[in-house]
Amino acid sequence: MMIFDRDGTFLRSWGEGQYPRAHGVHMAPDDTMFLTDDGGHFVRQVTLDGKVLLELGVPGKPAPYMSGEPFHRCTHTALSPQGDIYVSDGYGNSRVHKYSPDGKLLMSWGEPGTGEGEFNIVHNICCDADGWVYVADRENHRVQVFDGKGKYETQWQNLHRPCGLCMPYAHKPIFYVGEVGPAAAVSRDIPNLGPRVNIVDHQGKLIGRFGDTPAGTELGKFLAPHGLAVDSRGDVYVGEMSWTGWPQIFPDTPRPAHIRCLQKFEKVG
Amino acid sequence: MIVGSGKFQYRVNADWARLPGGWSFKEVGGSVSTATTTSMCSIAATTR
Repeated sequence: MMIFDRDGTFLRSWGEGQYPRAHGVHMAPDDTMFLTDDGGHFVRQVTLDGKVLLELGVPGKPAPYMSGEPFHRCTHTALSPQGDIYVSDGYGNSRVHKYSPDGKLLMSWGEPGTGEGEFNIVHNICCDADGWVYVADRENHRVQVFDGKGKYETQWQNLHRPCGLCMPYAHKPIFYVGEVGPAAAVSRDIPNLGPRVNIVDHQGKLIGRFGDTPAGTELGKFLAPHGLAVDSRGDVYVGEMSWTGWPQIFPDTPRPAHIRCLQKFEKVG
Repeated sequence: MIVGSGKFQYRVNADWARLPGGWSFKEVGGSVSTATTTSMCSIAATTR
């Protein structure tokens, strides 16, 4: 974990060697963080200086692939208005798990597939102030919406590979959605599919967008937008999995030693 | 450089994060801002 001030000055880091594949992070209202490690198959609630308060899952010991049991390459977390913990799981399961604030497993839902309540890479998850749960179902090209008991409500299908899902906490919130861009070689150069950042309202209607396509390293373009944050000024931070994405995007170009993987977008006006 | 449109226009700052000498990001999986919005955190792998 690397920590910066608002101006981008590096303050400190911690956790080196303790997180095999740091994947997702969620900030709780009490300024603790929930870290999701898909390589280690665990979720940790930590303080801002890295002290572990709660751990879900057994580090290094995944549940059987697609068993539905927690966890197999879990990806992200969200909190209900009551403080219950939702975990998206993930790359090796097609499941959402719900835990009590003290870490007791309450319920799980989801199966592999393309139907309502089924998933194909449960990649990011958010929960709004009314308790609605939003799941970025990446390889099904949609966000599914559930109530707090896992009952399917609706879906947004105007997205291509929604990967990062960021929601400033509110009733009827807006969402910043990182579309990671085409993966298949046959569609890699098709315009208007991402990678980019979409801004949608609480019903999934597109209200803003940035990021010229196709993928690139030029200013304002993206390689693989993955983890987004928005601060109180409305500035957007976009983290990218550029190292992983490069061979898919530029298969004939050797991967450079250093690739840009973080951009800040400062709100104008 | 300004991107976006309407209410959602942004100035791009690709050099915002100033890392210690010899450090670089490998990947940035996630990011958050604190409730007080005075700092920003990134998950990253680094090389030194």
